[in-house]
Amino acid sequence: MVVFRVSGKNLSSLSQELHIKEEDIRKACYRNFFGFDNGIVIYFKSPHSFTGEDVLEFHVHGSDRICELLLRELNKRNILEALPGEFSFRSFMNEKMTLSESEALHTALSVASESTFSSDLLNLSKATQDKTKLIFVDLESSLTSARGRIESAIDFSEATEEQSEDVLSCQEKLSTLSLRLDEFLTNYENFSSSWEKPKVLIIGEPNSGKSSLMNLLLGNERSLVSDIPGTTRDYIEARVKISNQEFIFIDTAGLRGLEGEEIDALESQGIDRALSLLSDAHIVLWVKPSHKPINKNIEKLLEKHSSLICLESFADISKKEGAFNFQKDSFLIRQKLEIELLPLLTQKKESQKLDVFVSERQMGLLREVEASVKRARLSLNEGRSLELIAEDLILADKALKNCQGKELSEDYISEIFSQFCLGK
Amino acid sequence: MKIDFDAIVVGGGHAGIEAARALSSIGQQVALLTMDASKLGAMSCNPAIGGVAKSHLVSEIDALGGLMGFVADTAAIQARRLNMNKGPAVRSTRLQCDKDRYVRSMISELRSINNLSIVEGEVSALSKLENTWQVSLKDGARILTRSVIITTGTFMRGLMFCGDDRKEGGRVGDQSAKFLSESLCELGHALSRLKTGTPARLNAKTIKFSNLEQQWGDPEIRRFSWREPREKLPQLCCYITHTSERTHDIIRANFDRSPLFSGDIVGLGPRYCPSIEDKIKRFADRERHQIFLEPEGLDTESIYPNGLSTSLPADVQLEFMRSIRGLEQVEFIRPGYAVEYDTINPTDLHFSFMSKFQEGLFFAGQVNRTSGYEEAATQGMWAGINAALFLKGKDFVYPNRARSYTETLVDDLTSKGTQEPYRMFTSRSEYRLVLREDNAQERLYDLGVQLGLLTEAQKKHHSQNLDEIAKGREFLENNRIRVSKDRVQSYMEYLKRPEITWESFSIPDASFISDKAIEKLEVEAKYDGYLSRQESEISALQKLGGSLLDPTFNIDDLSSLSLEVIEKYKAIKPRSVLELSKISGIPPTAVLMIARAAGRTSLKHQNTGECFT
Repeated sequence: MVVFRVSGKNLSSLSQELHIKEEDIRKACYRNFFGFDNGIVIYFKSPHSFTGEDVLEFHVHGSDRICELLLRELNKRNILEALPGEFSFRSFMNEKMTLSESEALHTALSVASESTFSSDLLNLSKATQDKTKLIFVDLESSLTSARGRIESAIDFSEATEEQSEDVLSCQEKLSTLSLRLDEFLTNYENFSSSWEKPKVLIIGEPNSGKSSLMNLLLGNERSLVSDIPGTTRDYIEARVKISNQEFIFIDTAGLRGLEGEEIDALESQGIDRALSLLSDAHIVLWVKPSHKPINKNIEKLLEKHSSLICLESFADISKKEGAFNFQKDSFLIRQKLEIELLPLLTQKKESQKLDVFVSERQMGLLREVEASVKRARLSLNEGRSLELIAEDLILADKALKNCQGKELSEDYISEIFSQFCLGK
Repeated sequence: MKIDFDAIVVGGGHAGIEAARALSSIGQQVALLTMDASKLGAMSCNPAIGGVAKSHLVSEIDALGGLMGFVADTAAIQARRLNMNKGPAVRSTRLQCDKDRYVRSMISELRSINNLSIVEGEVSALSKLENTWQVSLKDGARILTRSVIITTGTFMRGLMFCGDDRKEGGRVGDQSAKFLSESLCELGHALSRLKTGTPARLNAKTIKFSNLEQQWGDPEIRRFSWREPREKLPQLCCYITHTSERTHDIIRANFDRSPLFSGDIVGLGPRYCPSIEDKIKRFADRERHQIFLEPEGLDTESIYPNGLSTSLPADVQLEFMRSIRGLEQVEFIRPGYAVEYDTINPTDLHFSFMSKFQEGLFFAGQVNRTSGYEEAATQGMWAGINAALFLKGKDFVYPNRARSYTETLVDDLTSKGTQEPYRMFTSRSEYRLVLREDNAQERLYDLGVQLGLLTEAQKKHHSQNLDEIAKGREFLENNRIRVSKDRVQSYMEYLKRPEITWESFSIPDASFISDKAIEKLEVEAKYDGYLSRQESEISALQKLGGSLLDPTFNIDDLSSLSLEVIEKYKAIKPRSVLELSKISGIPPTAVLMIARAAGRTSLKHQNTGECFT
């Protein structure tokens, strides 16, 4: 199946040609397309469409030939191919979306081209947008009231009797604002950077095939492979793409010391590090040699880990069903990982997601807000004059408004009048 | 038809005066029409000119050759610089004036202008025949002119409230302008009502000042104008007192007698100048409110109790007034009252203040929904300048927010409009650090010269000032001070420190630099960094203006723009993306849409979100 979307100011002649009547609007209609294929067409009438213009959607059979024919027919009717992002752009231009919404969509879509998980971003976008808005509104109202204090001290110096109180109150408001903003930025940064490339920790007893698995995934001799237990003394990281999603696989030293066997100091350090990595990993991949009994210690250690995948090795020795030969079964192993890893990741992301969404541009602006507020606080402490502090608060306000696609407004003036009794 | 005057200014208040002056300076024959020629420039409410942000307007009027600053200097009986504990951009001069002397001095200034005639009378009708305006007066006279500037203040269908009492009039003792409203409606202007108020005037002889805190002016008087004042009056003292619990009880018990709360007054009043009953209602937990007792002149007993504007009945006014310390036995010269009046919608005006519906018809002042003498005066000047340009067939001056508070006000009013009476605040400007009282002349010199508003004397004075500043700067940069054992800094560098002021220097050989020049140099030092940020913002804005809009573009071709945006676009006809983005009320999305449709440069490849907001 392929869907073609046509958007324009007036598509009534095209819709007539397809025999779409008034009552067919927004309904799936089975039609013949220009004599070469049958399929579904849906007509959205302006302004009730994605772009706000008239929109026709053609659902056609997914053959290149049919697509080509449809494009040719559309071209004949003066319909041109859209530029990248043109639909969102028109949607934004027709005020169906705000700048931030179109940014969110843009970010989600650009992720979509690289990852199969974009759908959850889109699904959540309404709730996420609301939550994000709330955070902005909250930051904005503390900023407005802080600025209100300063502005009233400047513009109503005759009427306000207590300037020191204004300064003190502004200081308090700004420090709360800083705290909240800081917290938000740190959380968000940690969150987004960690989930961009989820970490998969490979764990297993010595000589279980962990490094062979790494090599198989990487397609080269990245880890030292030998049959001497304890060859991988430290962990090794590698970026691996599985079905377009990038993961960081971390190969660790075999967990031998758990049973109290004797190990050398170097290896012991490697094991300690593996254990500390365990808390940091998003997903744990346990490699079990299928020809040996289950290692009870490792089982106990991983018992509580919520996102665990098991992979059995040495199928060539055990002939066990479901186990793999790490030297040969490259395709099967990748398939297995795809089936198990991807849903697990989606599920995990879902449960841990910060339910806010901020684009790169907005992040940049929020950092600007942070910097301006910091400068304002510093100036307050240094006893600089109030109009300079106001300058920084205005910059912060501008950035925060810009974040939300709003214009700088005079709501601080209302703030002044609601808070203070003025007028000499 | 023989034209009597190039322009007629209807109304002899602060706006009308500056309009007439600007028109005559640019060489037009002007008639200033007033209902009472002995009250030109009367201060109907408080006895002061200036204050925060307002003083900036006065200095701009002065920089363009206007009268308000000079006349206030001449009539000043108390001078104060406000915000001295804040930075130079927000320091403001406030001059309390002798009201009678202010008017007398204003009249003599106006009389000395050659091509300006003062005409007494009330307009009965205003009509247009082709390109000629006919102003009919109540006494039957008809004046023909090419342009009319309406500056009627609170007089159009003015209605005064004092409790249940109501009286037609724009100011106590004066009539209201009854007929003009009708003509303006016929000419296409929708009118709406606003309200303002003034307190009672107290008899100084009945006040016990000895119990009250004194407030003197500054020992060194800072004045508005570059011109020397005609006279220097003795300085008077003001007094501070407070309302009491009992005052509040009395007022609260009489809420039902206030026309403000009964719904009789429909017009919205200014939030920053609320009546005392309003303050007590809205800030119920405040125990007291500060009251300033300000003398209205040297030869009068009249005292203006600042902070007690009210429309309560006269008996209630007297009762609550006497519950205030110092006023226990006070007698009124006259009670306070509220006044409701007709205004036009300023968004019906082009940025030149010319009507969008009628060529040659201009509006300025309180009738444009503003409040304050200074706001009125500067608008009068703006309307006068543009009316003169209209008469000469020249382009209007485009309001540049980065150049003056005057233009900020013009831009705010004509593009955003206002619901309540508009007052200037320093925070209304995004260029607060650049727009200062001290540099008004530098900011507006070129405009003043270009328009022909400045006398030779003013130009000479300005160039002398520039010389002085340059010499001062050279001195500060070339002389050094030892700041610590091993560190030497130029005076200029040293002045940048927040805790250092010029006074702390005491350098004998710097006495050749005047105080005004020092003030400017100190600003340069103190605002270093901040100033360059605002200045680079201004130049970035101007760079953006590089992308021009197609003049043949028809905005009706663009679907889904709001009516407001379309109207603003048509009214202002921006020539560039810069001008477009400066029109307030046009949201960034609409800027993008228009820029895309009418722009000559591709905006698709720019980060448009960053560019226009």
